[in-house]
Amino acid sequence: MTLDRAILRRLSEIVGPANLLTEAEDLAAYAYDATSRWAQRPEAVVFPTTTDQVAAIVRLAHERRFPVTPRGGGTNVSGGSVPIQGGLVLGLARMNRILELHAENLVAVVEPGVVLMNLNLALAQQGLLFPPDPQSAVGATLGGVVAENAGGPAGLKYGVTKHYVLGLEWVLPDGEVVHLGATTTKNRTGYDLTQLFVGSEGTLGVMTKAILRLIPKPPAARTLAAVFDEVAEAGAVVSKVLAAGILPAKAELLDRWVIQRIEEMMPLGLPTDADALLLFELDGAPEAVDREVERVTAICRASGARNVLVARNADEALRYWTARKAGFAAVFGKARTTLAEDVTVPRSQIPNLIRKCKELERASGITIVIIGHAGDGNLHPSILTDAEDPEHFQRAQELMHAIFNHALALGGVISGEHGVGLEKRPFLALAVSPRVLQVMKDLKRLLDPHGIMNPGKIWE
Amino acid sequence: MLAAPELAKRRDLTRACMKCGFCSYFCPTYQAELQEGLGARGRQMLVRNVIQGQQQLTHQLADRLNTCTLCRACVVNCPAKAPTDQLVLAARADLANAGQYPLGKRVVFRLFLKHRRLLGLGLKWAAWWQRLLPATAGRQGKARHLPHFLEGLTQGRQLPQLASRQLRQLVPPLSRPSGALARLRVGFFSGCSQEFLDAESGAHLVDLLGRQGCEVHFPRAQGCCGSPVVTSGDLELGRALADQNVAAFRDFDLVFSGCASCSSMLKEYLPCLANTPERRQRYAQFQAKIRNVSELLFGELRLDPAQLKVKPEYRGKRVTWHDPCHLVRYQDIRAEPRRLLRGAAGLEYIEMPHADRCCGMAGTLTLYYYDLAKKIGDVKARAIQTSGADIVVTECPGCIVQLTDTAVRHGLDVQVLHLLDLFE
Repeated sequence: MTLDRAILRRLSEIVGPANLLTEAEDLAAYAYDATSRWAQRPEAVVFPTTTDQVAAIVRLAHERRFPVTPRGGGTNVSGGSVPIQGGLVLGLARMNRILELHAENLVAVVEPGVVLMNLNLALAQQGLLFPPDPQSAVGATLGGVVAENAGGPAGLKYGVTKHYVLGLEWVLPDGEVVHLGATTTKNRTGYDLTQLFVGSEGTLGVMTKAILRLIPKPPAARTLAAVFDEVAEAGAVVSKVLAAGILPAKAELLDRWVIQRIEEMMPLGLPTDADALLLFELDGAPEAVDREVERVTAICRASGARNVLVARNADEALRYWTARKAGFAAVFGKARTTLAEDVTVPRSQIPNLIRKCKELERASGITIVIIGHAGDGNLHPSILTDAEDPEHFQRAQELMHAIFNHALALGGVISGEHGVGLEKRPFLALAVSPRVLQVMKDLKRLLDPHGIMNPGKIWE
Repeated sequence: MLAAPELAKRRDLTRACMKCGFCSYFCPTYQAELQEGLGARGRQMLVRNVIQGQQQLTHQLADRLNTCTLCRACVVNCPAKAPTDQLVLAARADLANAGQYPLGKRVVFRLFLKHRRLLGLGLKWAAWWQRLLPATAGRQGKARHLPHFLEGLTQGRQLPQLASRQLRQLVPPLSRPSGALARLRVGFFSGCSQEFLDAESGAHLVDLLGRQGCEVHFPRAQGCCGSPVVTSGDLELGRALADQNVAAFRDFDLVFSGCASCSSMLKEYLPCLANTPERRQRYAQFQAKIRNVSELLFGELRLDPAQLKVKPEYRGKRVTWHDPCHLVRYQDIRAEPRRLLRGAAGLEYIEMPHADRCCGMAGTLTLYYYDLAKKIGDVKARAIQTSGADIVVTECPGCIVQLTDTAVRHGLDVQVLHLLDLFE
């Protein structure tokens, strides 16, 4: 027990009793995130509503040396918001205001608890967009989006969260509040600490505000789905599209197994005998989009697509993207445990990575599903296993290891968008050199000497 | 040995949830409190903990599960369609068995819902006393509140006005159609609300269907549909009521109700209550007979909306539709009422934002967690205000009580009406 009575009393003074949870039933609901196998109850949950409260809580933790795990919507898939060493969960869901919205400067200032979907609904009213689009947009909060440096299908054209954070109001692990960055797009003022904190997974402090860069919402978007008889072939098409001078907003890949499960769950009329489906979204000015749809269709056909289905209207397009969104549910629903990987390789290596996964699948007899962002090489091979079957689970983990090694050999990384958290701790040393790891740990120690911020994450 | 047999039977249902947390966006109680334990995923995990023997059936657990509105928004929006509602219901049954069944509820249910005559007499007596209470000023013609010095007793809530003449006094066991030949012979399941609260609405419904060529039977042996009982976890009493209603309508091929909650409950005796092969068979047959009013009008009666005449006092008004959870997500009825409202001459239809979000009534939830119900209602109030409608129309007497309370609390200049009360 690291939270004694005096600490709880002080927390209650800081946030008020209505914003402090200590009952076992409430704590049980903060033991998990969206991963399948990590669980640990905190000893208390607080919901600050102001920056000052966050600062006071973190200062208290710094003085009394108890673990603090920040949490927004709890939709992350790395174990990042699981309070693995107990202590306090710092719930930021109630700091959920969009503070400023400057259409003329393409800037928004938000609190950490704003749900990504709500931000984009508000922006849409003014013709604006915050492009990063993790599949969890209905639940993910901006604090988590920033802390995990989230990405999504739009990464191909628009990049990921780090490309859209101009500045931060940040509570350092000793409780001091600092302001980083500015509202300008360009800013060269010493080390870019804003970018250090983006993606820091709650280990270097707490975001209390973010200054976000926005873009004008593209006026038109169209979707097409290309049907392939060979999944690796589909994986190679994206490069050809890019070589033709077209940058799609999204290019997503679903393999045969996923297509079949989606059709079982919600019949959308997808071709269940196809080996792969490649979904494109093209956006921009209406005339340009129409022309690009034609050209992408032609490129797919020339590259072995059996068929290309062009969505005739927004409803049809939505059906395809609903299918894509349902993909993970389809995967997770079919296995007791799913190791949803997040390896990312250079685009040109996509076919190689797919072939390797298929090879591993055949050799092991364990299902490996391919579903992911073909556009940016972030593929999410998912291994279907059962953590309660030690032998099977062991083999699945070995497969995962093999996929990591292969991705690294292809010049890739072990996590494209999910983060290290708890899931990939054992593999970090594979991906970075000892000296780099040491620099990371030194930075952590410098900012958080007592190791109170989200302890147990990123490295073991 | 697990003390949660109903949950234990549904262990497989807990596997669907993959903890993605997308449901929180759609869960009205999560949105009201922004607290994981009061959201669909939190409830899923709590239930899982019970099944795994890590969570006792405590009253704190009961609070987390009893606050679920059972609106099913989590289920329909879940990528894996995880049946949180079924798990919550099962958990409530186990909690009730373990003693987490409030005494007040138990007494009222077992005494009054089981013995309908007593309920009728009690409410008649209450209606007489209620006339002494001040009526709420403004456009809510059918609400009363306690005098200000007593309002603490009901937390300032608007009380629905009890009928002074109950439905059994207004509608005979058999109402012949007004035209020549009966097109359809139907049984009328009134539900408690149209029988005791807004009996005039119930009588009007019978009259309207009579003019559409229905021979309407109103069997006296019917009772409460069982919804408040089943959602409180009292499956035993639920079965007694179900059996009684199945018997009361034995001779009919079609049974309709003007209450979305009743019709959805009647359709769900099978999944919720059938515990023997015999009940499974009887409940399955019964389920096939049940029609909501909209289904009856657009299905069997093939109504052309232009046939219905809007009552003079509502002509030229702007109306908006509130989807009752029990209609839109339990019975998949979304288009029909809108067709009726758009098609009727003399009404201007406006869609409110998120018309299908729960209003916060949720059966007995509003009695035990009024603060939560109010927060959920606040969201609905803003939606109604945005629509700019003069009249909010719905098809569930429960929703009408909550929407009326919400409208009064927010000082909205709107009237709340049952769909068919708009028409002559």
